[in-house]
Amino acid sequence: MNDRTKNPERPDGGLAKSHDRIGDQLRRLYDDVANEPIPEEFLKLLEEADTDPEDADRKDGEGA
Amino acid sequence: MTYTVDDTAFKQELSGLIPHLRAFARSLCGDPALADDLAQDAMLKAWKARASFQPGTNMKAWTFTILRNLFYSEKRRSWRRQPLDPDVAEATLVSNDDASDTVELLALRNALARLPDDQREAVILVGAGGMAYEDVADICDCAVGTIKSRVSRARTALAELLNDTAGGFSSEDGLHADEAFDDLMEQVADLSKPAQ
Repeated sequence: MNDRTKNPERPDGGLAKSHDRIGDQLRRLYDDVANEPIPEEFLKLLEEADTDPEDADRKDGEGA
Repeated sequence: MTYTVDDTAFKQELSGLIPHLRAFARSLCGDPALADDLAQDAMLKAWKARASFQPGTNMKAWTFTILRNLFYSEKRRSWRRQPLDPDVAEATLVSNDDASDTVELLALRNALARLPDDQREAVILVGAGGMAYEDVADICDCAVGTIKSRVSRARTALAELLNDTAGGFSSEDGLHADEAFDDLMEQVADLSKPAQ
């Protein structure tokens, strides 16, 4: 596919550079969320998933 | 009943994937609360389906498939009713001190929202999430070549959209560059308001 049809005067270097920049920004967008601390609710939900009430008190908190 | 060793290992690995589930969900539906809803459902669904996971295979790709299927199949759910809206500010970019950086990220977010669903998810998974084309092809249930061409078309479209925003801004809604910039600055101003 030819990317230059819309910007005939722009050299390929410019396009490649702008793609690099977009790549960086895309990673930022994703990483900004991925690097947030995990909300407590997620861990609690996962911790409680399929846990029998009778022995629930035995299995939390080890995590080794 | 107590956990087996496998269950414990599975849970540990799944919990390590939560940040990625959240990031992927956020990229599919812009609203942070709805995205977390989606990510939580996907996480619990993955846990329930753990018996069908093949140990040693890519658990991240496996959970992303679950999340993506949830997003596209449950049309009546709230996260589906609120897809990424190109004209609404996403109050999600709060961690940046640098205002010009924030403007750029908002512009990218708005540009992403204008892409077709299939191109957006492909460029997000490959370009943002750093996943292999093969894994993304599995997740999206299509050929590797299809993913490659979606990513390439998405990158070109994004470059053009962002270039338009920075320069002439000749989009179909006829905003001028200064209006577009004002619009972005308004969104930035909203972001810098103190949280209630």
